Amino acid sequence: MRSRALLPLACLALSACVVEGKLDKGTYRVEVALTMADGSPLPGEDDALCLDLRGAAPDPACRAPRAFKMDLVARDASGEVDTSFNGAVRVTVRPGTVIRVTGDAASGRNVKLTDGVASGQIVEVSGTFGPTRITVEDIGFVPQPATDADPACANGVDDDRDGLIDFPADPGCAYANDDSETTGTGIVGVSPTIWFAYPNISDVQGWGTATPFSGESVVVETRPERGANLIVTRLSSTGMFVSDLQKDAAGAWAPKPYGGLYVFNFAVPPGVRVCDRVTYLSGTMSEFFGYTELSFPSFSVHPWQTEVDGPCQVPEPRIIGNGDVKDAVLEPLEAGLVRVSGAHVGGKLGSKFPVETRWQPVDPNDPKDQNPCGRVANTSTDVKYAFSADATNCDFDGSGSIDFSKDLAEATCSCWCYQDPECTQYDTFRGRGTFRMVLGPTPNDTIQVNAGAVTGFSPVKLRGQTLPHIQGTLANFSGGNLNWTIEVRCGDDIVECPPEDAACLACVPGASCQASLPKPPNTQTACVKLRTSTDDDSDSN
Amino acid sequence: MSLRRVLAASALLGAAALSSGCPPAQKSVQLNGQVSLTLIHTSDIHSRLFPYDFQIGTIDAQLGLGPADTVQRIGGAAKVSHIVGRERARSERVLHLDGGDCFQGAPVFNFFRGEAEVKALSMMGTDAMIPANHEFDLGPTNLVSQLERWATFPILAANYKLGDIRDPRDPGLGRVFTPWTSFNLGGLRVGVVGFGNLSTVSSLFDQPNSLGIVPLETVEVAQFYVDLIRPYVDVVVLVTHLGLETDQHMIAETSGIDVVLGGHNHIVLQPPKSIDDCQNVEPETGRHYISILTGDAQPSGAAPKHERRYCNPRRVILAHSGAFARYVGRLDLVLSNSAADVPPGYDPIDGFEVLQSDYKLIPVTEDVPEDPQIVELLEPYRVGLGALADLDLLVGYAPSAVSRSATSGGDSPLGNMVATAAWLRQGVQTDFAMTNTTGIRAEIPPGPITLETMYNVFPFDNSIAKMQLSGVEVQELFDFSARRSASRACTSQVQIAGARVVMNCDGCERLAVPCSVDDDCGFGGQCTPRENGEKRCRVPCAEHIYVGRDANRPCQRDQDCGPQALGACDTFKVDESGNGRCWTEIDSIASYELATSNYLASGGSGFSVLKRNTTQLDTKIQQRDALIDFIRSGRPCGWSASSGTSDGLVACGVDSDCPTGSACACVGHVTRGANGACTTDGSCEGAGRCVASACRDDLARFHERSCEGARSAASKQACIDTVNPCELGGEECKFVACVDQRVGNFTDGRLIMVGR
Repeated sequence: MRSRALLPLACLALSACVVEGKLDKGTYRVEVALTMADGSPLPGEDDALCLDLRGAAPDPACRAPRAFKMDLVARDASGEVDTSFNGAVRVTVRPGTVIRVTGDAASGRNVKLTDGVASGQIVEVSGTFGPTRITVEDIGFVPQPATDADPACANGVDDDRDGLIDFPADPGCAYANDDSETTGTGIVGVSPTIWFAYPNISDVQGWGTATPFSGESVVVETRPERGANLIVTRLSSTGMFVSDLQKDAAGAWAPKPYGGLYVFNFAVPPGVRVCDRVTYLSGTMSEFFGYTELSFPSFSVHPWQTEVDGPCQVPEPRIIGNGDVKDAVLEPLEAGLVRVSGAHVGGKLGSKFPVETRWQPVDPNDPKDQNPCGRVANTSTDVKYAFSADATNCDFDGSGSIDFSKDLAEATCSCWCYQDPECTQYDTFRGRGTFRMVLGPTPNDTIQVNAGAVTGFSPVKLRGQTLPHIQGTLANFSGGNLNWTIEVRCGDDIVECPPEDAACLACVPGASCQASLPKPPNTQTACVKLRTSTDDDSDSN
Repeated sequence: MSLRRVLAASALLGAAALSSGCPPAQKSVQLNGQVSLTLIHTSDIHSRLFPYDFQIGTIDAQLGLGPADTVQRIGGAAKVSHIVGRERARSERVLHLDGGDCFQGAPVFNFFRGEAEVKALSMMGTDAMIPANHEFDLGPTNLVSQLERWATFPILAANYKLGDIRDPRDPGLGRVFTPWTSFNLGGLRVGVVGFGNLSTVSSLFDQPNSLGIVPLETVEVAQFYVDLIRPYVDVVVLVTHLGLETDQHMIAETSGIDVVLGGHNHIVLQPPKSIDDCQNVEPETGRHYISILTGDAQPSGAAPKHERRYCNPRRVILAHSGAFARYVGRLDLVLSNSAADVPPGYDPIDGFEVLQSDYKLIPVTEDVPEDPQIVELLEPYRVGLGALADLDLLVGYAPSAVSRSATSGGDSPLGNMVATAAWLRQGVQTDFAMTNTTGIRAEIPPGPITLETMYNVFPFDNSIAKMQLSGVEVQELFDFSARRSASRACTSQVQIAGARVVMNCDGCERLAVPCSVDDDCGFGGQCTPRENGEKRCRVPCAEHIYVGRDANRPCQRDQDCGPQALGACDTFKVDESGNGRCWTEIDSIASYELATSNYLASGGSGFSVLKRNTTQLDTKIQQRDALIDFIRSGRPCGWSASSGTSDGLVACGVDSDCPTGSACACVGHVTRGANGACTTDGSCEGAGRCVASACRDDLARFHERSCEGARSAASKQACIDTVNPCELGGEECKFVACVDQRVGNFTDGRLIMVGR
């Protein structure tokens, strides 16, 4: 009881300490009224704009500008029109971007109110999603009149005599073409909500190589009633992978094109398992050397229970075969599950340094017979490196990385290793745990694999040997020659040949022995750890 | 004393502290409809009061700090103050809130103990600040002294229960800390509650402790103060130093917060996160709720009573604005309490709701003007530092950056150098050395390495401690390191020398004992089922530990050293036959001498196996000094035993006598070319020496900087002519140590992280 008596006393004492202020006379806020450009009312959430466009060309991400008609009224504290306000307000939108503002009162992305009013201005916005609002703010910007004189913020004169001259020194200058050095009132106005559809994973992937939302915060559509079904397919030490699924012709769950997404969380996401359905997902989109990722995520999941929800919906991995290692084929599979079957581990991987030799063209008269790893200046163009089973190390100075900018010997060596399909550059393996799987005879017929999550797996021991199946999520990194990497989730994702089975170990793609290789992993159970009554995340993660 | 009594008493004390300086009460005004609020946020300044050189990475380049892979001069309190002042002028209602950790990280703190930092924040008009972990680095008495003398703003710490200030043994934090404060900005009442750091303040959870602080539970305290101040303010802002994970958890478990400005992780959230509060869901009804503490802990030991308070989730904005005075965050909010604007389910007790937010991250770059008042304020400290410590003293030259992180998550070049410097130090020379990765606070950028650089790398005045450990204790030491590393994305939390370690983040077989629940595994391990259904513990550990290189056991691969000897073969250094050497696995009953920092030796970062060791000897040799001396002992760039000269550098007359990338340095024949590069003019007639061109150019630019303060172009040129930077740089490059592979700038796989 005594503690309860203390609380009101505390409140009383505290309220007497609040420093009071008072409102200035004049404009208090700007009222923003909005309709569609044709005068029709704004849509509600159920008929949000761009719902019809999701997944449809040519603008599935709804990036094309949308127009709205805007009326502005400056109001004083009593709610009456403040006819004394004759300033300009800056128009912005969140999320998204204002493309242009047109109308009799528009100047750039600013609108000038006359006697406190500006009506019928058209605002075009782009890149919006979810609940969107247009904001106007008096930042003190005065449009430059159509004369030859320099604007006040670029004329070299301290027009407002505050000791600061022009933009950016004078904070009253919003921009260099601001015709007033006086600071604005800071009053604002926000429109009613404009509902846009949320983007799907395919939309944030941009249906291509790069996200159109780079640097922007997005909320991804996760609701089944809107056609989304986001399933967690992998957990890693830095985040999770989700796939947006749809039923295929056979009625099985399959990932949508560009339907995979890497969610970068800096750590294992707590309370999440493979097979869980994501019920909320937002974060910041970015491109990390060609890899689209959603970072600083906020998310929630529906914990999957097979007794209630049915079988785990993790889809069958897409098969990558010879000829598939190219952007056109793999970009739609980014961050999704993929599998390589019947290929062999590159036969050259070791810590010794390769031998430097001279390169010579096979046919000196053939202008196309060029040194594939020659450089233009400051190096010899006739250097070549020869690699062997245990000699693929290009980190000549032991710095722990290949210096492509300064150390051309290391860069040239790394290039020659790429030219040899069997060669995995040792420093890449040591630093990232990646190695090469060979699907065909040329350098482009190889794909990188990262099996660092599997304790005890040694590609060095398996040099040159066939792996019946290896699968994982597909990552993209454009910082080297081999852009695409399969990241193995756990030991279940690798099927090795029985040690005594020489036929299996030596089986090459296309040979008849491929039919008798061991079976691939069971998608329903590979790397899946479903919750049980005694293992339900309540005390872990 | 129950938590609620404690909180109420704290609130009352806070009120008393505030009321002593309150103006007479005036009639309040009522705001209605849409209003704006601007919050300017800084955090983790870490004593970067003066601009400093920083190599811009990809992320910082994207955020506008400068071109990637270049070294730029950034930061500084005077520039931060200019930005804060400018943004204030551009705002209608504005607050500048600082998230703490302004202490520690640059030499000005080492010599002036935080006085300059607090003065600078006061002068730039900070409205409120919170105390963070590094504010306590020199003890609570120093903190109280600096704040009492120089702070013109409230210091907010709602989650610290403080001692009785009348007790002569109490450090007096209660005189300077208060839980919350409020501001009336043009009629908008903003309540600000502060949360100090809990996770990293040494000994905070020991009771009693020298700080006189009892830490309070974050969620309970947050909800208490929201409930307390909500009726009297329109907006609730929390400024915290809890870290991103704790911020998110706190938001999810509370209701009523509008904005959280966080720190501690040194990250930028651009854009800020929007997180729903009130995230507990009642399965039966689907209603959202938060848990409210309603009773005291039971004498029987049962948990105190909670009840459910039902609420509607609201979006809370969470912003983090970087560190080291690299950025200033500006969060613009549009709020409203109008029925036409607020979302369905709005509760009037929540005051004004955030309708719209816009966040700008303003980089503190070289071209940002300096606030002359701050420059003048800091001038005595700058001069004092110059007198006390010649921070521009040249220690070495780095042809490329020396990174403190590794893509493999294992040993980093700078980590290896730091550990090796301690390991080989005269007077230390132990079996192996270890330091904590997070104790290395900055990388070494390419170019001249000065004493200031060393302070940035090692701001703490930690010394090297030696001790004897048994093999069992060495295993325990690295097992703990493995567990810590596993919890941080399998990135090694230690750096070593004289040893090789394999850490398995996935769990080691030797610790895979049968279990039924996670608690059976201890040490944060997990009890997980295997394919055969049997449950066993998964506990990260150090699978292999090797101390000592065996010169008599050549090897080319790990298997040459033994059947299960992963990581044993060191092939970084090979003999003429191309063989490396096996390292020796530790023996549990043998004794090993370890060199480490006195911070770890006293149990810092949880190293309890070291804290209880009674053989410790503090050598009083600072880690920083050991690193400085280690670097200085290196050879200059271009040195070779086969150069044919006594100084190891190739003799030359003109630049063309030198290998590619080198230039001929000699007195009287060096000029600055039109393109800014140094060139050798005429002939040195064999008296010159080949030095790295980049070294000469970089050192020339470094010395030219001393002429920056010249009042006119003519006097600047006269200064440059006197200094003759190209010639001076060339001569220095003949002896200044080159931080390359020879001095330890490499990774050699001595730390292998498995399961990453």
